[in-house]
Amino acid sequence: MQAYFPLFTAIPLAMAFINLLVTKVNKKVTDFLAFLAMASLASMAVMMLFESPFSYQVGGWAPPIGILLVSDGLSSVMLVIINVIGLLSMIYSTKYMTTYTAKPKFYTLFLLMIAGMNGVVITGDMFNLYVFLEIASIASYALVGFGCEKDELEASFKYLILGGVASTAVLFGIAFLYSMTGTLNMPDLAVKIPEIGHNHAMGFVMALFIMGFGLKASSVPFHAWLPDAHPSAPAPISAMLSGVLIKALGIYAIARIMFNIFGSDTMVSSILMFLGALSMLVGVFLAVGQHDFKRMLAYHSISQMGYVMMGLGLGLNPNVPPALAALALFGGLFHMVNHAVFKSCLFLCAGAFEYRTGTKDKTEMGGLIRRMPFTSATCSIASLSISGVPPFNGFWSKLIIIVAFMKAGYTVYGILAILVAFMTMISFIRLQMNVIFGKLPEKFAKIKEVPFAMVLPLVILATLCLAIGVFYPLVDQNLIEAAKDALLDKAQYISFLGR
Amino acid sequence: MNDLLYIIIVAAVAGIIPLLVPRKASIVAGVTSLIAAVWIFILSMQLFRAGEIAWSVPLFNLGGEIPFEFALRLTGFSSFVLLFISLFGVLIILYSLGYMKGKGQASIYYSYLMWTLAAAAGVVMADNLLILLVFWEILTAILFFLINMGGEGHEKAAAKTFTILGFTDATMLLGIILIWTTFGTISISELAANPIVPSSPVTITAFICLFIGAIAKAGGMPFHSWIPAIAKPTHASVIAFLPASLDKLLGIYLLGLLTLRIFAIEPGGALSMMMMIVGVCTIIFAVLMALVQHNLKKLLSFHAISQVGYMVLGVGSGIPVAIAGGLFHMVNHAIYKSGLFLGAGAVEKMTGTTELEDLGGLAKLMPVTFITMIITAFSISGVPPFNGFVSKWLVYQGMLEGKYMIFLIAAIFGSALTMASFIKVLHSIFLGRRPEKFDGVREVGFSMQLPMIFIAILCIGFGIFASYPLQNFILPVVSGAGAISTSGFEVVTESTNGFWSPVSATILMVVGLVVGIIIFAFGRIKKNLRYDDNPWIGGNILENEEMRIPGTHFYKTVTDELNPIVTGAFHDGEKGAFDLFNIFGRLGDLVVQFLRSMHDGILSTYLSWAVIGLGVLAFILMFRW
Repeated sequence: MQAYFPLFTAIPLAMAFINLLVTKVNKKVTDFLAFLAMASLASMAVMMLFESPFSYQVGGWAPPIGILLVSDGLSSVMLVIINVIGLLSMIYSTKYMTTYTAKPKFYTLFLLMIAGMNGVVITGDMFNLYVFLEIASIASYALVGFGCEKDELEASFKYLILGGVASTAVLFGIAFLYSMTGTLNMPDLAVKIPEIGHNHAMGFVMALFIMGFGLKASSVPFHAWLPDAHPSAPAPISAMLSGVLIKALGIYAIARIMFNIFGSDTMVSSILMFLGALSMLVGVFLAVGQHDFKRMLAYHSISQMGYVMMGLGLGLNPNVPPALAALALFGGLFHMVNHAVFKSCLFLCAGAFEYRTGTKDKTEMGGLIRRMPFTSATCSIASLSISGVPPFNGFWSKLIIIVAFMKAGYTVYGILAILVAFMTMISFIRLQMNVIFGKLPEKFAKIKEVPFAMVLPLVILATLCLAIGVFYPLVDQNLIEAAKDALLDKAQYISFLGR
Repeated sequence: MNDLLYIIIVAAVAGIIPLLVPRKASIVAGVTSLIAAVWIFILSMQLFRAGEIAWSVPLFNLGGEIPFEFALRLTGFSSFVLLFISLFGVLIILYSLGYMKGKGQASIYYSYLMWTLAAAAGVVMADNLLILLVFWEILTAILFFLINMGGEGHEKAAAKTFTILGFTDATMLLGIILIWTTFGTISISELAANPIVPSSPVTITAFICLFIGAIAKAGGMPFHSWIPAIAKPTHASVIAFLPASLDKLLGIYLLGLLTLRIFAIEPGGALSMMMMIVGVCTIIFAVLMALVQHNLKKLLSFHAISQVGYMVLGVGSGIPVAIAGGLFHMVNHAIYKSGLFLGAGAVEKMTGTTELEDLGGLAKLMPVTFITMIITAFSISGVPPFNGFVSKWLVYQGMLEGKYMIFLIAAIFGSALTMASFIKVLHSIFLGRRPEKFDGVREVGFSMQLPMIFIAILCIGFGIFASYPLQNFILPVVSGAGAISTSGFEVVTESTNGFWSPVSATILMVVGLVVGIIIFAFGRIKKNLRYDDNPWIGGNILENEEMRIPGTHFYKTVTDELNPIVTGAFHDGEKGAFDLFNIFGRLGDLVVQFLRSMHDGILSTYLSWAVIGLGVLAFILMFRW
């Protein structure tokens, strides 16, 4: 597998353009081409789980001059999230996107986004990371506005401006780092930064990175683009944005840079914990008041990313016992994986309801479990997951984060996390009350379940919610454990330089 | 495989089978579930005889850092609760065979019932507070789906239930983690070996958090309001199973666990007083609300709350007799209250309504339902020799022993009001004149009669032979608590000169009844004492309908003619002004409004947040690092 590692970016990039060319001749093959690309990527990503950590030198150029690709526990988990959720969204799109025109263009943008995200998580080079970040971001700006309606374009524009500011901040930060260390290679940076130590410039770089990647991760107060952008995109894209993009571009980048390059630090730790707690609270309060199904889900993404951010923050703290820091980090990463599963499921459900009822306003729906049993059941399972109800997956990760915080002595954060879990539950109970249960409105008396291509991803994701929850101690532990160890083991990351 | 895990797995797997059965053949699902439930009942009987069993695997290892065992342990207390859980499982599934006939989604209904059994078994067998909480929350989630299978208005009721129980589950989680961080263990048997004395703020908070969880499940005030909300829309069998019996058993089981094993509560101390006050308030306010209800299921649900008060009062007092009474009342309540709800379900099934105003005169048409409901109603009202009396009597004795005269008076008063309320119920449904539309009503089928009859027999049996369940189920638990003396229990056994000797008293009462019947029968021999004629006023023969006396007006004076403060409180109470659910809902709305007003949708606002955020971050990281 090691020799094929660059294919994670090469396949989607190539297929994005092949797809455009081929569909000039024959439009019907576009579904097939996209499926081919995503299926091969997803199966490769799953196979990567069995590889031990390694690094790959692009073009045979030795680091720190050449570009390094790094595969370790964290990047393999990210690759699985990106490509498996990507495959499911793509399958869903085959039917869902028939309501839009220009399906081939959609797939092209979709594959570009995948290429960008895969690039971000496998690269070991700062500038390379920035380039892939921009590829994914620009593709996502276009995808948010894909419907070309007034609201969608407005959302896309806001997202573009705020995202652009964030990208600039990141680029600025990279430039600062380069001027101080003379290298862009990430393992190399991990060696050189401690030699320089803390100074004003390094503090500014940190601030730029936290703001830049924090905006991509939709952390409060940089979250304002998300509640507009995520609901406006077509449903499979919303699922990708909320389920994957904010993690790959935001959380992953923060985790990689803060843990592996800068190393643990009290101040950064408290900032991340504070931002996380703030996002968690603000997001959930805004979500409770929402009528728009997808908008509500978008606010919950902010709130749930808060949990992940908090977990990362405590993991960075050098003053708590290492076991607790590791526990918090584990909880954060686990929650990230779980969130990818249930949030993409929820967005796809929202899309399925919209596909049949034509509305996103949840108060207009009702009793849909009688007409759309599969969509409703999966929506209900995913809702319980995000609410943190056992035996579904969200419960365990939230529990771990809460336990870690309480045991580490951050009682207020722990209680806030419990409160937010409760608020999340209220909001999703309201959702189920409005959409799934209750009285079926007259106008929806004749609607049917969505087509098989849309049901299949929903059922797979809902099954995952339950399976991860029930078999958590058996299966999932090793995966996330490896990701956690990769982050905590800075020496291993530096060693990629030599291999 | 381990016996304890076996029960949970049997129930969980049996819950999957109904999903595989075709929709039309829901009866097959019902029968397989019934077989599984009987099997579980037999298993739990074996376990009950087997005594204490423990089993654990270090299955969970939270994040690879904190060991956390999947530990099960069956103690004497939990095995007898498990016995009753599985018994009610059998009865309710048997009843459902008839009740659910012709209702939609019947297959998945049986799945939910079986999973409920699995989770409830998990709760009582868990030896780790977190495992207990996991099963506890699974129960909440299943209850949510079961309510959502109900009729008109079910979705709001289900949402309210899940919100309240979800909140209390969250407080329980907080309590558990507080114990964990303070004492380093959440294993129940380890905690029980060295009970926590709630003296520091942290331990008191932990106790209150867990206490809230227990009484919310059981339905004590102020977390009671979900039960009346779900009473009307939900299937009667579901209410009979969960809020009326299983949730009571589990809630009070947890309360017992807290007060008898995990925490060392000082009798007469502040926490004990708090629990007793909660208990007494629950008894009185809920029964007052029950008096004025017009819907049978809703009325019964208020009684289900009120009776929890006796259990909390008894268990919370810390006095051995009262604890025994409280725990015995838990069992008795589960028995008679499920019987009452099953009766309500039978009436609903046959007449299509549970509105007391519309019902009447069904005694002749539904004799089995009538008689079983009389017995269960007498039980709940604490009429000797039925089981409710014995347990209440023990609670009263405990109050006497502790010299809590006010609580004693309030408890007895509550019992009297319960009696008054059930006179209204029995009159409204079974006596009085029958509306003509119900002339065709028949008795329910045998599969629905059987559970009701069985429950009625249990009511009588546990009343007359109260010493048997007390000796076998209750006293081992209470005396097992160690520090508490076991003196004073002889009062219910016949060997000593007790205050109450059920068997001889029953014999006397039966003799009295027989004499009464003989006199009545002699009267019948001579001539028919009763004449039926249409009422005649001023030359007009009045229709039957106009001469009906519906029982719903029996206690209108309670709301109308008492002083204005009480009346006002009643109206506010009806509207839900005292409902914590509504109060917190309004508070939350304020925060939401504020946050929404900040998100004005203008790009420059958002951009300025980002830039200001960057500025603050830069300042902190550059100059405060």
